[in-house]
Amino acid sequence: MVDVVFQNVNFTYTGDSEPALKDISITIHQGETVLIAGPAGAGKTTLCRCINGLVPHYFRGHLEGKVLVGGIDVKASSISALSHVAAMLFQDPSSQLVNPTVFDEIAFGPENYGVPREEILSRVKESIESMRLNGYEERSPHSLSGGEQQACALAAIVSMRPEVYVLDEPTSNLDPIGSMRVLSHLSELSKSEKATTIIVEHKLEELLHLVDRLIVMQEGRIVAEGEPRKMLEDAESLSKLGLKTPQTALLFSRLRKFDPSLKMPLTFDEAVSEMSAFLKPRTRGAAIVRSSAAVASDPKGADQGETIIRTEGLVHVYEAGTVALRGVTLEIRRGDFLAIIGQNGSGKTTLVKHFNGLLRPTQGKVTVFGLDASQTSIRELSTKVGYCFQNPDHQICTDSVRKELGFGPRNLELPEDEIQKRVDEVTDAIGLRGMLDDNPFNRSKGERQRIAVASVLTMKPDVLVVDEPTTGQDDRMARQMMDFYRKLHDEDGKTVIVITHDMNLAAEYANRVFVMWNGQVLLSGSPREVFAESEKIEKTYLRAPQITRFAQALKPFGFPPNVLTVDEMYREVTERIGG
Amino acid sequence: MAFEYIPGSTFFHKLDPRVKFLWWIVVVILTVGLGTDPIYLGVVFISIFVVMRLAKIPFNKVTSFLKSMAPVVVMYAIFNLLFPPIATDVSNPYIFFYLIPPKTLPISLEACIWTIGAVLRFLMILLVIRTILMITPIRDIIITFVKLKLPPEFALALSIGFAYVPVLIDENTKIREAQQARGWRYEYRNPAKRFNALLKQMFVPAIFNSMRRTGDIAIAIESRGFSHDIAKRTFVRQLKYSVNDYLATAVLLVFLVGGLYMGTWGLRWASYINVARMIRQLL
Repeated sequence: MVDVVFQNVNFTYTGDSEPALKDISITIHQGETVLIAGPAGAGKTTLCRCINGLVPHYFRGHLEGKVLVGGIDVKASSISALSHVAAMLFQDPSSQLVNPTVFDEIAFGPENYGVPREEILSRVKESIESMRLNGYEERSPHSLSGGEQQACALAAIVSMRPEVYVLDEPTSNLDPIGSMRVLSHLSELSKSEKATTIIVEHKLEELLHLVDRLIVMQEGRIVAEGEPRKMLEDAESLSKLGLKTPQTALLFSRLRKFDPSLKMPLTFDEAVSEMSAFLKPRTRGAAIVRSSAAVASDPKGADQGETIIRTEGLVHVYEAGTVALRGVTLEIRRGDFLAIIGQNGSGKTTLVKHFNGLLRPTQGKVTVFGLDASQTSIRELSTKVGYCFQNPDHQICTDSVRKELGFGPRNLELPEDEIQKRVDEVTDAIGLRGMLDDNPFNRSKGERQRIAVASVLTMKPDVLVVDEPTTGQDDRMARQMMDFYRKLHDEDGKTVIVITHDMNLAAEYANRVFVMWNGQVLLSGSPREVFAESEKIEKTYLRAPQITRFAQALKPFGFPPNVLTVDEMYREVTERIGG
Repeated sequence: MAFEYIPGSTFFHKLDPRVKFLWWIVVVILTVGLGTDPIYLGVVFISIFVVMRLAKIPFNKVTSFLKSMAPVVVMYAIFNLLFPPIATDVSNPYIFFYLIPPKTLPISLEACIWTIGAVLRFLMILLVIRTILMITPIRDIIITFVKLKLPPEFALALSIGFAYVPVLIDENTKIREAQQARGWRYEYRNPAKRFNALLKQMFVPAIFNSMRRTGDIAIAIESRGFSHDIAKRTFVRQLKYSVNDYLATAVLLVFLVGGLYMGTWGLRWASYINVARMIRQLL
């Protein structure tokens, strides 16, 4: 029996005062599929690391209690011995792909364990088939798309034939199409294998119906566990914990207060049929009369400011010959809170890099505050359009927060007192006061992200471009980040352009949305206008927020196609059932 | 990029990596071991270009490589010019002038001719390495190392290093752009200024990121059993000599023997000393 057993486990990383795991006792049985969720810093990753021995053999610290994997005591074993039984998939695909070709990558594990050559060849073939990597055998794993990379990394552990799979946020770094691919592989894995599967993920909506048990962690402890449907009944507390709870579950848990007979749905389809059955006797066609007039028009207001960025027939072809933009014509107005959504490779980043001159148009024209961007230096444009990269660690280049904030203005050769003034202003606005003299590399990831933004703000740009600010974060942190940008937009009058994969955030925060696909802007408009066009959106393999699709699926009851939040949908439903 | 594989299916692409390695050895022997003789140098030089042509390597790849190597080649040339190892071969060299008058660091005709030969040889060795890397996938190079009985840890470390080159390049581009987006400049004409700017603002994030990445890689390979029992590791990739490989080996050996013969007993009159003597008579 290959059970994974934690007995009164406490673990403190060397150098930390607070334990990362507190009194964990749990048994995960052979063949079980378990989803572990919880906010950042809850100890999910540490728990995973215990299973293949990375804790305490690579990440050192004080481990109390016992972790047993198939009867092997983790403390007395080694990473390579444990990994043979319990293989681990990590969040960032690119840092676990270490071989020159996909073939070598998948063969790597079994080669290390001295599996006979013929056996390896047949395993590799099988893994390539099942992960749909045919034709990629001789390509470098790093040349694949994110989703393909993670599929390759997954193939590389499947070929090790482990009895336990430990998957630590396997889709967090991927775009929607990549996540979809990996999630479908996970679903096959959880069904077809007899193996035990332990998944850490934020995406409850896509996973809950696949798992036998949901375990919720917070601050190093297991705070709740149980069968997913049962757990969803208290959807609101899950959401408060920072979990990205399915919007239908949030809606149902509120409606259940009216009518406890309403069954909590686990999947989208279940939710639709349950809601239809619930509404039918209560509305009797009255709803149709209520018409499907759209929900209130956009309250956020848009389209008022002057045009500050304009592109006309913008084409960009990279040196290697890749056509990244195929004729983009658009206008961005002062005061926009613009979300650009689209798959990786659809041209989002290429587009915004034209706004500050990092890229020059191959064809077409870009005008930024009246300046022809192809004739203006990056330096000059950088005072108009600030650009925050996704990973703050690519940006931070000095050893104190103060220097980091002064870096941009100093490059502009501003007088020292002006630099100090700007640093002070931004420090107060962003709440970095206490850490001005600290080394940014010693701060947490979230803080580094804020430092990186602050160092762009000292350039006093009118427009702030942020590239995937919420990737890999839990829902609560993502919202804090977005609230922060909203504040810059509302209070400091910045025009904000956010590149994001998170449709719910785009729907809630933006007043305009561009959907990019294949180097073009496929759709643009207010979130209501854009997300109402679900068919067009689905063509780009994106999906409107779950609650929007839910309302659209219930069209016969006269729900408008452009509901954006759970609150709105709750109102729509309660109106129909009469309070 | 220094390690760029240009996929193709020419005769040369398909050769066993060991044959390609042998080609390199032969060129090294013919040039370094023997050749100060302009005639072999010429023949070997042409042969390299013939191979490049037949392997369909785009010419601009070759020129851009030569451009990138220029500083090293120039330094090598200066060193040879100032300190020619043949200085003792000639009792009274023909001296053009002294770099530091009256009599320090002479620049002589013999040294000039020697230097031309030396630079040619250096270029040839570089070009052959470059050509081999362009027609051989990295994994074949790794297997060659394993076959040559280098420790597997070494071969694998090398393999991982190669696999990461594109990732690191990509990362460095991002770092540079992140600094440029904050008004940073590095395109100074003055190389010292440029170097200083790059060092300060690229170095810190680049080091931080590669340190973090090194940790991630260590975790990833350990979690796939890398240090399980390296002596009993299986190597799936294998090499097999084909008819063409035997053929190419034979040609290389003929080339080598012919070269040795010519170098030892053949066209001795064309050695650099004789060439220098001829020029001196003309002067």
